[in-house]
Amino acid sequence: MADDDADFPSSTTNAGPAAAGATSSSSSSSAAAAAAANPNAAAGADDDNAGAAPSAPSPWTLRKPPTKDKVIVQFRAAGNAPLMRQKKFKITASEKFQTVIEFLRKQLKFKPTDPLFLYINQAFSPAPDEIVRNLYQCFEIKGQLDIQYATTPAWG
Amino acid sequence: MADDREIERQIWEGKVPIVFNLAQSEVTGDEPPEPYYLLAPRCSYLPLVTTKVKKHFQSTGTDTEDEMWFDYAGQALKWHYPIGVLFDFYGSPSQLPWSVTVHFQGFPEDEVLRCPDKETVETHMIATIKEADYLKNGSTKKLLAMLKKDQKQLWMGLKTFKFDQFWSVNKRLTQRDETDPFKNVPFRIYVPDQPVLQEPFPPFRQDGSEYTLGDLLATVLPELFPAERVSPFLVAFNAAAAEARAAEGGAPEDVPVAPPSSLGKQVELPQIVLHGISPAFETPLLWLGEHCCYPDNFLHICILPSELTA
Repeated sequence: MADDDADFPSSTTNAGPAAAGATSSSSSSSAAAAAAANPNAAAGADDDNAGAAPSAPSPWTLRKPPTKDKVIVQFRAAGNAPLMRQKKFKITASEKFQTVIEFLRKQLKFKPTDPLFLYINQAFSPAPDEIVRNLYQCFEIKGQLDIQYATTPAWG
Repeated sequence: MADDREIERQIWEGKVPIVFNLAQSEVTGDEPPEPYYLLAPRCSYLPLVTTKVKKHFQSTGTDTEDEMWFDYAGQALKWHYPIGVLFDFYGSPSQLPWSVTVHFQGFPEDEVLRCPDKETVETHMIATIKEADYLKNGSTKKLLAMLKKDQKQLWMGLKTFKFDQFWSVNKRLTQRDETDPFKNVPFRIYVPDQPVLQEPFPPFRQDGSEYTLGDLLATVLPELFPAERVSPFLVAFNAAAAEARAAEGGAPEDVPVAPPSSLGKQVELPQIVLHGISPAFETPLLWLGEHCCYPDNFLHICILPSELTA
């Protein structure tokens, strides 16, 4: 028991009901290995949908319908940050916020050393490893995630 | 509302015994340097309590040129998660002290954020409090209304780990305001092999009663926590909704009375761990949010396999 606990995050796992029923350690650890080989965006979307939104719309009125695979992000320049010709983009919901930051840097043709600060709803900066889906579900306004960018701290 | 300050103090005083060992591959001498033992506060962050760990290994001649980082059983530890969350999710109370490996080489850029100084922790903590504030109030007005020196006191309270200094300011962010109730209870739920879960979830039901932890789990993780096991409210709610639709002559097929679940009644539910304990499903969510949040104002809830299936 104690050994299993210690190994748990990296080997034998119980991500969901499917894994819970598996008794063969070889099959569950190979599934874990597959997940570990692809730990980022792609795996995220599948896991999340499989775990939380299995089928028909829930009668649970609190919960918003499961988020689409892609969400709309709108960038707005703040201060004297350079403007963008195109401001709205579709971003894969299972990506980390880091992807948004890198995408914006590329769009702005910023060097890695150029300072760039991103904010949501003119309020706060998410950590780079926060999931775009979570941010969208929590902070979207009128179906899009508003992101402000600046070259100096603005709402920090 | 009753003053449950004692709960906040108990949580604040929670500590994890950790033994730090240098990674085998980074040992330069004939023998590995002595391990370093530390009682680390659950509510703090690794960079705030490991200055001495770095000094210790520096003194043994280890090359400490690059930034220090940690892993447990091959799993890199994110410094921007509170220590208590890292231990609850990766560690085990049956294996103490918690054995953490120290690295100064091969920084895992993809998994761990860089943390060059303690100001980075401050920036992260204040940003997370703002995110929580936004979830609670629909804006960051509570934090913005705060004087700069009070914000500084929050940070210094955490950095120097003084309960009164931190909570005398933090209670203004976490305490309920009867005239302006919270819109959501900020939470993050950690499930193995899944992205972190964070959704808006309100504290009050339509009739004004309070949602429970069971209601939350049955909503966001219905397959792991079937409503019939953890949320009498949700079962009743779904039944009423189904009845109402039937009365209207609506199609019943899109109204599952209870979320589908492959977990039979005999199967143990997963463990829920918050500050090292398992809170009851009936615990009101708002109470948890007020008293059991971490200093970043989020509830960090770990979901682990039940002891029987582990």
